[in-house]
Amino acid sequence: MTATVEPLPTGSILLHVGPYKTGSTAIQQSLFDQREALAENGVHYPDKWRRLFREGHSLMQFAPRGLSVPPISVWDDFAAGIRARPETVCLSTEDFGRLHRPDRARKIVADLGADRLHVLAVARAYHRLLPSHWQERIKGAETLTYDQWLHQVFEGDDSMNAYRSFWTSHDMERMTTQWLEVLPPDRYTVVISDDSDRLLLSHVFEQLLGLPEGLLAPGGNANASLSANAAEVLRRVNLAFTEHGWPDGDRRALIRKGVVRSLQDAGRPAYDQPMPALPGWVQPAVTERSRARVDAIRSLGIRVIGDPERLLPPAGDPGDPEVRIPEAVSVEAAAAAVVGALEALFRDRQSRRRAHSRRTPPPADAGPALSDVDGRSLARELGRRARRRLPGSR
Amino acid sequence: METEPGLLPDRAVLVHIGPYKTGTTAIQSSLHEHRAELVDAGITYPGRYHRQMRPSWGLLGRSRVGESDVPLREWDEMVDEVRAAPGRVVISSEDFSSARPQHVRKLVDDLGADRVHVLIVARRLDKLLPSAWQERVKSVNETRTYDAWLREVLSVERAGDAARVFWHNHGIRTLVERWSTALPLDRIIILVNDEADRSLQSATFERLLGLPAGQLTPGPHANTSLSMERIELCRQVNAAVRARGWAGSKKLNAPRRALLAGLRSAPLQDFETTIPALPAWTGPRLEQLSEERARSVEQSGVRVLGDHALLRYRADPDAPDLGDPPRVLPTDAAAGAIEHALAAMLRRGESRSRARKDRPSPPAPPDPLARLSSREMLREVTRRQAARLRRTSRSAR
Repeated sequence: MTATVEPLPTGSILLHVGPYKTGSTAIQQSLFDQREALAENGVHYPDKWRRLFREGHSLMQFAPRGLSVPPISVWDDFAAGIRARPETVCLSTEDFGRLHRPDRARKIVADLGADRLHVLAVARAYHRLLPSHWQERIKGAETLTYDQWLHQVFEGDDSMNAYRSFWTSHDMERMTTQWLEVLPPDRYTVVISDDSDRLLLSHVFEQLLGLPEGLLAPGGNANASLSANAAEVLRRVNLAFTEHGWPDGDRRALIRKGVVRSLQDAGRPAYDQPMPALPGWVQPAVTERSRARVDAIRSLGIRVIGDPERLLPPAGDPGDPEVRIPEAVSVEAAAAAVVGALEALFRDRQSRRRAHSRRTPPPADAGPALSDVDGRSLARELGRRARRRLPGSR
Repeated sequence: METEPGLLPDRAVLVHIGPYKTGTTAIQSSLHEHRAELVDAGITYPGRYHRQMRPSWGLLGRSRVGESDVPLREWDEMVDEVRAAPGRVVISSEDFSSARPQHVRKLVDDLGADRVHVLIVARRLDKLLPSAWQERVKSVNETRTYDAWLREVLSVERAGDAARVFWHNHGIRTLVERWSTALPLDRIIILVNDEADRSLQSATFERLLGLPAGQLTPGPHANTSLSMERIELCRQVNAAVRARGWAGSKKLNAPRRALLAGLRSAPLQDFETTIPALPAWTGPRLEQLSEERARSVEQSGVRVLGDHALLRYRADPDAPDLGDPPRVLPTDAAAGAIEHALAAMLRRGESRSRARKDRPSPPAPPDPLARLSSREMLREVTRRQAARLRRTSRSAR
């Protein structure tokens, strides 16, 4: 059972910053689904989407692949609206868990009000986080194998995508220090997550926000993880996407909202294996980083919920020397992936049909009939179209 | 029984009607590949494609799933080409095996009652059944497992569409009956396939058409079979397609074809299996049906090439049950299938967005070509060419 946590003062703004792969999706889904119950208990949760999305991107002047960056006014208007609310507010976005510019943290604090803001981050053990994080990347556009990716994370530097994306979200010391420049330590809380207690995070939120126990208990399998086998299929599809140079917008529609979603819905068929544990070669480095994180959490003077020792990997499990790439996948998962892509096709078709019905009809003047066109013009036009269809001749 | 197929008359039109899964792709690919030699020998293989699919669909009023029927005009255009041909003609489309009596009558009338010879290939049932099921899974959204499909096809009642379709296309007696309503029996040829002789069909075509022996070497296309694991992927996708109500949408045609190409693109893994032998429960029924089939051929009264006894079948009473479909397939094959399907979907999107860019802005002077699809334009070109051909051939006569 989770430790008892004092509720925040009424009128606080609780900003949950993730980071990624620490159970954010589940808690956001609960907060969003229960937003009416929250309102009855005097807590506001924005009702636009599961989490802050464009608002956060606006502040960070960033957008995920395939989307455009929203203007800063999107955040400014949103923050002004939140500040105008007298009641307790809860906000959540794991995007703020990877701020790398102190002025951005400063702006968040200034815009939401230093007097009301409490920041909450979740620390999840690295040995649990790493496989999840790689998977999350695979659901994006990652083409590195798990093993290659781990090499970059633990042996690489800031010039490498894998290194950057992992440590900007999970270098707790750097992240916390940044917030502590603009916020007193008693306004910064770290929850030590526990993979064996799926109610921990929801309990913490319920207590901080003064909500009835159980209100935020996680529902279904939000953002379910993929099997190692399905992840490998997806990685190869990512490779193909990159090799073909297909656009990011298509990746989003077909992969993220199609193939990935369908694979998640299908669950893990009996044949397919969960992600493997960490290979032996990386374990000393993981232990070292974990120990450093525990020390940092203890020394920063912030509020800590849970036992930081839980962040240390279990001793004496040598693991496989290297990660084996699955050479087979269940037919069920493969079919789910195919069907997911097709689902995107049919969704696309529906939205296109709506767009099409709004389009103005072509002019009534039909012009000369086809029979009036001479054979040479016909042949020329056909040739032109054929050339246009050839790859690389655009 | 006739073992040496005699040369067909000078202006004979040999109509090869398959049926499906009797080696049609191989012979069609070979005929297409050797067009130049055929022309030299005064033989016409109409059209430009590896078989006369679209003309046959024009006659039968068929189409690809979800698309409009191929117009009868495309059949008529081929008829013009056949009529104009000075020497022997060979036409091949397995879809003719599904022709109904009215189509058979029209085919014979159009191509010339005095010229048409029909060639039916009879294959042993135990070889035909696995291919036929696999083809259905690949092409017509079949969702039955192999076992369920076999039970339906081999049932005494022959109820259900699987049985109806199979026996309509493959029943020797029904095929002969249908074609003999429009043709005398001596113009119907049954070639009994010899599963041990891969060159039998090409050799038969060579002799019927008067080509030098050995000329019809294999072409580049073969309708290769997939492993049971990969077919199972198709079957599960079919089930999902049906469950979601997408069956019959033409949007699926391109991704489905691409999916199959993707599945073929990955090398076979050690753990993969071919379609298993027929289980023991099919034995007695299949022996009986095969015997009936051999006798149908023997007593048909048509020209029979090869030995009807080759259609008899001896079941293995110990053949194991089929068990459950495979559960696993190679990662390569799965990823290849998805990649190819995605590529097909993106090609669609690309041509669409280009088409949007190509649309003329309203004030521009109306150009009839800009509004036309390339297919419409091609059809017009083909129509004009055919008309020209008709004019030239008439004046040549």
